[in-house]
Amino acid sequence: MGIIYLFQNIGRLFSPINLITVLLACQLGILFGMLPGLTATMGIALLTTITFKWSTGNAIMTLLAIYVGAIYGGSRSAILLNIPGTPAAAATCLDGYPLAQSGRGAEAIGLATTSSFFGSFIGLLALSLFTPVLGNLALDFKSFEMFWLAVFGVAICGNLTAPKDPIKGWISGILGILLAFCGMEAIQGHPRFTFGVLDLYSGFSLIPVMVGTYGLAEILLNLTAGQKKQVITEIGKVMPQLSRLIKHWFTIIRSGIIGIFIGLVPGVGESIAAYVSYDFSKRASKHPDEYGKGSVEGLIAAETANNACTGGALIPVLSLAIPGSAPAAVLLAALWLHNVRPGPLIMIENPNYIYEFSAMFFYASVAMLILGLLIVKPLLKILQLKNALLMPIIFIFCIVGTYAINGRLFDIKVMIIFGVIGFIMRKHGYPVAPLVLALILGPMVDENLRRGLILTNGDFLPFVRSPICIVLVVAIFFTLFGRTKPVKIALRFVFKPVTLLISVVKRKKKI
Amino acid sequence: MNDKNINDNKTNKADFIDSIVIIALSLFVIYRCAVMPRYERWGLYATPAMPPLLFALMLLVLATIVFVRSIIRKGYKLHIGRNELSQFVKSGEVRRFVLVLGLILVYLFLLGKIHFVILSAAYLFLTILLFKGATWWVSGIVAVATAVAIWVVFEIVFLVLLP
Repeated sequence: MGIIYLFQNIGRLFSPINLITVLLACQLGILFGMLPGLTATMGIALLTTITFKWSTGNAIMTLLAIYVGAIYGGSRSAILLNIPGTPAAAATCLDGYPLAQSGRGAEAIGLATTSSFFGSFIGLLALSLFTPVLGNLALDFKSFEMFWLAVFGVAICGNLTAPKDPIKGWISGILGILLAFCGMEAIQGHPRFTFGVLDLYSGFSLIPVMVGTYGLAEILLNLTAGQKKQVITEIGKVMPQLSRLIKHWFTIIRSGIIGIFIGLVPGVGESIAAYVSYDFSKRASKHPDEYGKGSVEGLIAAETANNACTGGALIPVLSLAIPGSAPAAVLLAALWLHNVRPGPLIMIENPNYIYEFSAMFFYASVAMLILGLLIVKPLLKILQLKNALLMPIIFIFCIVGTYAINGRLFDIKVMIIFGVIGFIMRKHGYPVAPLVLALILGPMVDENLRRGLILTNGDFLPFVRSPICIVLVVAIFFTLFGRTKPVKIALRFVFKPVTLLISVVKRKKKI
Repeated sequence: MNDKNINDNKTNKADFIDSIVIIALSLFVIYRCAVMPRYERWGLYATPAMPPLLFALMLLVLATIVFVRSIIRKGYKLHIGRNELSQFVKSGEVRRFVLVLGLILVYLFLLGKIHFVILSAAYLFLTILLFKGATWWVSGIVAVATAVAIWVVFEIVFLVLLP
């Protein structure tokens, strides 16, 4: 029945004005996502004021289109410049940029676009068909589970981004967590590591640190390296071959499901979905060595997951009035402003709204696909510009994006400091992605650890009691120690009977 | 093989210095945690110092591993002599880094004191010209057009305040 209501609403919303609105809003979202510092959150916030007096349907459709477009748009600058436009696209840099550098930029953008569309589509199915059920799953994540999930996110990111030397990845992650502890903490309100600086009482904002470590560091690297610009002599086909997409069908579906489940968990967000999906894809891949060097599979995994996460993040928004990510939080505020009452009673008070909302999400996803595949070749010309011409312009966008968040010069100073830190880290082989991700997850780690211990009067047992906690602890253990010799030997010993059985069955089949 | 050895040497030296810096940082954080108020009525497990102390200890352990590893790989042989310092300072990469950072710091210093469009146009013009991105007149056109376009789009259309 849900599918029928979804199609009915898709048909009902089909009109020239709606289509034009969605296309324009999606393109604006893509631009916001592409430019470093201008995030999906900011795009939705800015357009909330502009669409305030519009009708509810038009306004929400516009904001959804910006959300979907911005999450996808971050992949463009990630692929072309190695600067993720949004935190969600950080994992896309790992394989997207090497693909662009090897002259396969058009292919990379085409794959990112179609993967993002598939991810959005999977998110759409979850949103329209499973919102009530999946919404309840989000409630199972309490302080204990959130703590381990945050630790897992940092551990996995550290592993993925420094495969040859994971210790450096973990050091980067822990530095990010320590940075997140700066400012007034949430439980006793005590200012930690502020050193009397008033601006530090609210801690380090994510955007200045992200723009600094990714954007400014990249600018510094490119300008100090001199005029070494790889000229792409051939711009290939954008539209990916269907056979290639079919070949990776399992990666797409798995990444979509991972994206949905991570989007469900409040506060976690698209960047973690991308990294977790990337990790799963790498572990299951027949060519794990290609990851980080231009793996198509890795790019598909990251992009599918981060867009599926947008659908997943909207499920708790509608069913519980709890946002699954930062842009979803602003969208929730916009829904309230337009007299839509998301929450547990939505299925009773306004049951059709979920399908109407899903239909809007469908149009946003289709607009993203069309716009994503259309305007590619002119964008690739960016790669042919000299660094000395392109990088200073990007720097100005970094300044604007950083300042626009809070209107503080302090944020610009933070951006520049972290730009230099990011430059040194990259020169010395320390990945910056775990630092940025840990800055997002640090407050989750801190608050949930202490809140959990307060609730249990200092007893750590509940942290390892629930099934979700056990799964996460095991996952963290294998992420950190899975590649060490003792663990490999122990696993071989434990799974020996199973591998023997499989080899016997295979021999019998051959006979 | 030679290039690989040189790169490995550089990495080991960098690891040696970085690990010392990170060890010092983690010890500093541990000290700051030790002097933080404990809010004992909440229970010691809820003290604001507990999470940073935990992670600073983890950082200390990891940094010590990197330090020991760099010593085993002879990263402590830094060879910081007069010739090496002179070569480092005179290298093209260091000069370009100092130039780019200098321009950024001047821009930051003047931000808020000079109108955004004028300052950004001047910064763009100088940077593109000094790094030989384009001829002087192309640099000028790009600089002015970019600065004005950004100002119009953000301040006029989106009503986003610029510095």
